[in-house]
Amino acid sequence: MPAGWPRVILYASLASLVVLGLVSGIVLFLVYLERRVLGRLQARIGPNRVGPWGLLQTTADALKLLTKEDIVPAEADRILFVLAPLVVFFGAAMAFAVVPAGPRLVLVDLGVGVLFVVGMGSLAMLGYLMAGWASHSKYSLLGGMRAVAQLVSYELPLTLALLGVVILSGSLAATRIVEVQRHGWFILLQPLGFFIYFTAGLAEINRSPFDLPEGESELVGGYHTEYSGMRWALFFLAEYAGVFSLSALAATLYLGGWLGPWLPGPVWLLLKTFALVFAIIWLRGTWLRPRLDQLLSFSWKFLLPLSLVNLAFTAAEVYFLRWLGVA
Amino acid sequence: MTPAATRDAGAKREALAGAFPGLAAAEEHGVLVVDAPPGQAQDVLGYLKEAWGLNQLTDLTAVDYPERRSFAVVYRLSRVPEYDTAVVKVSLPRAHPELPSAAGRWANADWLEREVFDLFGVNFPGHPHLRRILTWEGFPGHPLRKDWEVAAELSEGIEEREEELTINVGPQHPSTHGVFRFKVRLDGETIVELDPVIGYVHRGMEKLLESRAWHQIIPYTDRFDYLASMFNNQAYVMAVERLAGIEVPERAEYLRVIACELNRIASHLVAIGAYGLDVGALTPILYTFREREKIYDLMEMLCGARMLYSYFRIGGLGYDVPEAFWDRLPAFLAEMPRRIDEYEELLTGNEIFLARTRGVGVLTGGHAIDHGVTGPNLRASGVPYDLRRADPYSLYSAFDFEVVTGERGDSYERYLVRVREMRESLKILEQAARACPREGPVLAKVPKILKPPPGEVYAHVESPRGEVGCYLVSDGRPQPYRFRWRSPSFNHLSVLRELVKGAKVADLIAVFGSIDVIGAEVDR
Repeated sequence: MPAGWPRVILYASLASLVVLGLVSGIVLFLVYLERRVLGRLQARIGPNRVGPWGLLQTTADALKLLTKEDIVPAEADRILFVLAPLVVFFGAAMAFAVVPAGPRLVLVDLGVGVLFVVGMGSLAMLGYLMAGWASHSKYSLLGGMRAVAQLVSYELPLTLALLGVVILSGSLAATRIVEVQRHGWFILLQPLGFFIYFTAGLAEINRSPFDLPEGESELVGGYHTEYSGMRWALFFLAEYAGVFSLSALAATLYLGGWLGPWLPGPVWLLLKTFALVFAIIWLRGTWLRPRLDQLLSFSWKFLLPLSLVNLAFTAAEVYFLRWLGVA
Repeated sequence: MTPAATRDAGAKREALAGAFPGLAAAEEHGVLVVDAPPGQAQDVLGYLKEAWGLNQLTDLTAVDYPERRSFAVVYRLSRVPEYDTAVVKVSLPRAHPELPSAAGRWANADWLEREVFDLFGVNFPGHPHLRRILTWEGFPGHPLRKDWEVAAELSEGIEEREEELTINVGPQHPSTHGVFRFKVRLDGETIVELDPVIGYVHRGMEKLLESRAWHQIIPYTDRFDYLASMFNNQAYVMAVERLAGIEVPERAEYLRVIACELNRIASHLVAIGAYGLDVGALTPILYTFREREKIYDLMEMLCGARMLYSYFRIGGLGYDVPEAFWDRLPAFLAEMPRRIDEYEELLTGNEIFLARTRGVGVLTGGHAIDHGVTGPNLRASGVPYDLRRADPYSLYSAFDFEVVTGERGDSYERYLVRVREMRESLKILEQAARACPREGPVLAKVPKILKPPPGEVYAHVESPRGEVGCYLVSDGRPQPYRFRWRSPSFNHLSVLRELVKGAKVADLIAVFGSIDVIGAEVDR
């Protein structure tokens, strides 16, 4: 083992701890935020009893879930059943590692940051399938199957949409992509790309209106039907981690990330991110769930062709910008 | 003009005697009752359906007469949409009760005959799959027979087990709206076969009520369709009033209409909100429940209860209204149209909602009639049949309102018909509130221990779900001899199987939600 290894391991563990801490904190707040915002949208109040303005409600809920009995169904495939929520949560949380909050404020400035994010998104879906399969329950299996069908269909437009950003910036690194946006946010050059990325992203994190894998009124709980206590909470936290990373990435790739006047970078990033988070919650309050076949044909027959059009459009843009001498 | 098109009972009897010489027919409470011998029953039923156009089997039930050593099987037929009705009674020997099945003639005879078989032990040769429906396989005896006694030990329920592709939706499932079970055979997400299993909340109400005094029965009726208690009250008290010849004060009739129409709106609010939930929209139900609370406040002013009202009495109402009610009601009526617009904004035009419900679960008018479907489900299929118009009861002939219909009979129109019916109910409420006398009695003089004369009667009302009917047989004692509840949900549920064949799992929920079934009413 080379001499530098202990340091690398120490650094990596510290970084993961920081990510985990950040994710948990943000997610707890997000859950609270969603419950309050949904409450407002739905003509009710939402949690307001535990702590100031009910801020500690989700903490209390998490503590309760931690103390619940740990149940693994007798027929379940134990190893996969236990691993599945970890895989899902890991995938959702790791995307945070490459989101830059400032020029040097980034945990891992990966050269292939965008690729890493796409990969981590797919990993979570693998976890859903594991959960659905390992539960040995028919509803779970149906949920898992839906998750896979959804992933396969939406991965493609998602990646193709991101390609537009990559072509414009000439880089896969998140920090570089933000720097390039000093001349103008990519949402102006890539309005279609932003729409496709955001829609497909919602599908990838199973958020309404794409919450089919867990569609309560049909599949009871979908892939997490058999889960309870902390294992269930991990799925729950992963969903919100997904909401946050989708918004943070959209802010980074399309809305200029940390860039903005007067305020410090991280504040700008948070502001933009939460604006998107709010939009996601709003969607949940007003939309409903399509059927699986409708969902799939929307991806294959509409989003995918659209993302190809976007790609052609991007190529034309690059040509035009070169001609202007801007890029 | 066919004899049925006239309301003249004499002409009808003559026509019937022409077709079937020697057949006994009488008139009871304005309804033609035909006594057919078992051998002739199918011919008579066929004749009434084909020649007189009595195209709907409203109800099929039986009455046990041990001292006559016979069962009377009672077919109640209606013509839809131009209302007319007739009853066919068939007397069967108690030792060998057998009657050819009518399942080939009316689709809903399938379930109704299973019910008579289950509760009375009458056999219907020719029925495709005669088996118990409300009690379980292995249940001892037939509970609605007069000589049935609660067995010391009821045998264990035997679960049928089918494996492989079958999943059980229910009895515990977020979207079953009560306790049902659907055995669904799936190919991927496509439904190959669906078999509804009911009876989970069968409380033996019809048996139980044979031992309650006439006045005592009202609170039990609340618990059939618990979202529309007022209508259940109404169907029952109307039947008793007809049987005992009791006049209801005019003011009470107005208040009954007001109570019922408020209840209709409350019930449709739940139907629409829960339907949103079924197709994945979380928000509408919270909006509809907000207004439902306001209706419940009004109901509380009327009778002190918010959901299970027991407001009606034989001969009128339990309580007079407080003065403040007349201020609160107009305020509610003024606010409500705006609120309905709000729900419609959330659902009616929503692209995904349209994609999920349009053309899903299509029920044609003819099919609906054949299955005994009534209420909004029937009207959505384009049949303008509303008992408030077809066979006006209470004061309904005095009010101006539209019978809302759809065209295609899909889930979307069933939803839309309910929304539009709420607006029509508001119209009726406005007229009734204006016309209701401010002074006067709300309860007729009725003896504490009521003994209606021997006889039979059937009364029906247009509940938010369809035709709720109450068939009473009195033998002059202080309790009913037979109490029969005709529930719309029972018939509506039997149609589901055909509506979802070949559809997706998600469609099952979307269709099931759209026919708006109440479990407690199905199982009774």
